[in-house]
Amino acid sequence: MAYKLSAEEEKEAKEFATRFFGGTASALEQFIAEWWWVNHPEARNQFPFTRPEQHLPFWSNIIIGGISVAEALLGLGIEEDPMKLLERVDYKVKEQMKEFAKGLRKFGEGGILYSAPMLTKTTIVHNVPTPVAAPIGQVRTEQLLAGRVIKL
Amino acid sequence: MNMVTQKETEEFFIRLAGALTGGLEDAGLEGYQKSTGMRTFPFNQLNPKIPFCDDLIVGGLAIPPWVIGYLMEEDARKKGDMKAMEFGKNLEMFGEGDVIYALNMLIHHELCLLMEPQIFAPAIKVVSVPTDMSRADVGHKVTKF
Repeated sequence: MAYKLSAEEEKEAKEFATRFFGGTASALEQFIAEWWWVNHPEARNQFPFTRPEQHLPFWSNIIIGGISVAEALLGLGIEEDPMKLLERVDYKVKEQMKEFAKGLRKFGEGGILYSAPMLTKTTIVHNVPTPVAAPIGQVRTEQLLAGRVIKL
Repeated sequence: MNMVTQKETEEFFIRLAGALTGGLEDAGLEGYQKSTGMRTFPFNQLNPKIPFCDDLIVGGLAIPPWVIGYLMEEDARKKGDMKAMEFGKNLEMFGEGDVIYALNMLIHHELCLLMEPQIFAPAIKVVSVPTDMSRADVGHKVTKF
């Protein structure tokens, strides 16, 4: 027997999916930025692959967080309409726009739920000191991990 | 009239707290790995095509609060216990935030591994100590990044 979702559960599931895909969009943006950094060495040490301060994450990661915040705020702005710009619009169109804005806000919320901890993690890990280099065979250092050995 | 209620704002912050918990778990594990250079469990891969075990653990830790919260809420709803229902709902939202972060982090890591495995998961194969019969530079290609 198939389990049928109640109207409230269906609404919650849709909201969860919207937030989740908002987070996925941010993860994809981060991946694209990293892919670009890897495949375009000439772009390294140039904006957005620079840091605002040496202890902070790359601008590219901060921008990803900023995009999510902008999406959420845009959705919130249309939904709340503080400047009453939607007053003159047709009621039906207005309702559709508010529904879209609600979705956009939740999408942006999902992006924030991904990018805020991602930025926190990146900052913490970036500031963790690495062990001092030791001879091969004693400690595997960053330098060692940066090499790749392919058995031919 | 405010369209976004106080309740929705509170719900967002509960989800954000859940997501930040996931982020801090991840940071703790990765920070420990970075400071020690450890490459044994949980900082290894079960398969070169899947993310590191520490990332999978962070993903796995996100699921229990979500499921327990949902079950608790359902149980309390049947019993009519409003206080337990509220707690279950909050726990579910906390887990939801953690799931949104952790699963997307795994998606990101998986994409990195599939697209650029040589960069994002450098194979940890230490060249054996050369003896008279073998030379590390023969039969190997060493690429320094």
